This record gives sequence, C-alpha cells and structure tokens, in this order.
Amino acid sequence: MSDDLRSLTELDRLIHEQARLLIVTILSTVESADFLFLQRETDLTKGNLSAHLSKLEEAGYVNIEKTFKGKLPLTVCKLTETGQQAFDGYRQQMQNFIAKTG
Amino acid sequence: MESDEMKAVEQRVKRYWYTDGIAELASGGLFILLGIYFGAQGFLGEGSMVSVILQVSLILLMIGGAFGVRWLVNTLKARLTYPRTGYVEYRVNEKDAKVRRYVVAGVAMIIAIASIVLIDYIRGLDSMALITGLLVGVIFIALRGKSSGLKRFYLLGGLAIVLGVALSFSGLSQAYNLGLFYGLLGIAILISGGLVLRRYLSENPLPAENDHE
Repeated sequence: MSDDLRSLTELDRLIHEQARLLIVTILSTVESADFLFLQRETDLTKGNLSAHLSKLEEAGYVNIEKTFKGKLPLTVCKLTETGQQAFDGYRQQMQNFIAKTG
Repeated sequence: MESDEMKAVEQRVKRYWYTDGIAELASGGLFILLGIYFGAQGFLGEGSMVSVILQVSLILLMIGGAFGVRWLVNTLKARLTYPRTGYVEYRVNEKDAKVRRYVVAGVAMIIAIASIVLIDYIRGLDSMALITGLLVGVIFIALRGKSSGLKRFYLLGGLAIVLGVALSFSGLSQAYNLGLFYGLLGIAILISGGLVLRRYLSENPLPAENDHE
C-alpha cells in the first residue's frame, strides 16, 4: 500500500463522515452551540443530527448539556478537548494528503 | 469537505453574530447618543456649568454605554434570535484579540501622527473630526468587515472616513463636527441594522414551541 493510501486509511473515520465533519467544524469555531443552530447550519433532520451527535458524544468528542437561556430550553453542544485534538489531527492529515497528492 | 469549505463554514459561523442586525442597532444607538452629547457641547459652549457636567458624564456614558450595549444585545438576541435560529456562544481567543488590539492601536497612532502633520499644511482643518473618521472607518473595515466578510461593514467604514474628511473641512466648531459625525454615522448604522433585522425576522419566523430541542 502506498504512503498516500495508508495516510487516508489512518484518517479518523468518525470525523471523516461528511455530516459529522460539518458538526465538528462548526463546534471547533465556537465555545458552544445549541441543537437548533446546528440543525440549521447542517441542514440535517432532527433524528439525523441526534444520531450523529450521540456518536460524537460516545467517542468523547462532544459534550451535550440540557440547559436554559432565560426561559428558553436549550440543548447545548460543546467540543471537548479530545474532540478538538481529533479535529486538529484530522485537519493536519487532510492537509498533508492534499499537499502530497497535489 | 475541502479545507476551503471548512474555512467558509468557520466564517459563516462567525458571521452569525451579525445575522440579525441587533449589534448594529445597539451600537448605532450609542453613536447617536454620542452625537447628541457633542452637539449639546457645541450648543452650550465651553465653560458653562452644564457643559462641565456633560464633560464628566462622557466618561459615564462611555463606560455605561459599553455595558448597556452588551446587555441590550444579549437580551434582544435571547428574545429574537436564539428561539428562531439558535444559540451560539463565541470563544474569546485572548491571543488573537491582543494582536488585533495592537494592530488597531498601531494603525490609530499612524493615522493620528499623519493627521497632525497634515494640519500644518492645511489651514482650517478640524483634526479631531478627521482622526475620528479615519479611526472609526479603519475599525469598521479592519475589525468587523474583515472578520465577518460582510460588505455592509466596508460601506459603513467608508462612510465614516468620508464623513470624517468632509466634516474636517466644514468650518464648524469641533464639537458640532463630532456631533454631526457620530449622529449621522449612528443613523446610518441604525438604518443598516434595522434593514438587516427586518429581513432576518421575515426570513426566520418563530418555530413552533415543540420544535425547539
């Protein structure tokens, strides 16, 4: 197997999936965001977004907290330290791969 | 998702703060208050008791205004924006903020020095209006426009520079010039914020109660 292919297979599959990558990219930009914001930005259905968030939460990449902002109930999602490191690592791997393959 | 796409997503998320025009409405209001303050200073003239009280109150207006704007923006966003399009808490990157502050301070110093040097050559020029116009313009363009990529901030920055330069040649007193500068720019910011808010509200109706997670 070539080095290029090997580097691709070493990518974090959990983050590499399109919808989860979008979620993680959004969360890496902010301190936290709620479910509604993520749903609108990702264009996912409630069920799909919940499923992806659950996977990210199980992996320890995302922390989900049910809270209130004033009287408004919010499901606030936050990228954990592990999640941020995984995202940074993924991004670096992708940049290396793109640089190598041109 | 390509790296460019990721950057586009990041900028879109950062731009979300300005999506409803609320921050502009609040800062436009503050600018108008400053305009009224300087206008009143010009009308009352120096040395009067009311003028002295107004001078002292400027500090209170600046401190109270900063807190007031923050409170107003957060309250309005909690009422109008978060229920419609979601809540976001932004990360404060102290290192980036520090670098930005140094850059703005450096640019401000260069503009101030250049303006002072310029006054020697152009008689009758109101340096304060010129400096204020250039400074506010640069802040709008460099801080708000560049970070959000929104054209309306470049326009407002350009308007601030044009107003500052035009008023510096007006021949009016310094206080009237500043009053006009802040008042007119505040109205422009309010209009900009109002139009953005109107569009935002029409494009984003309040979702049904059980729609919110």
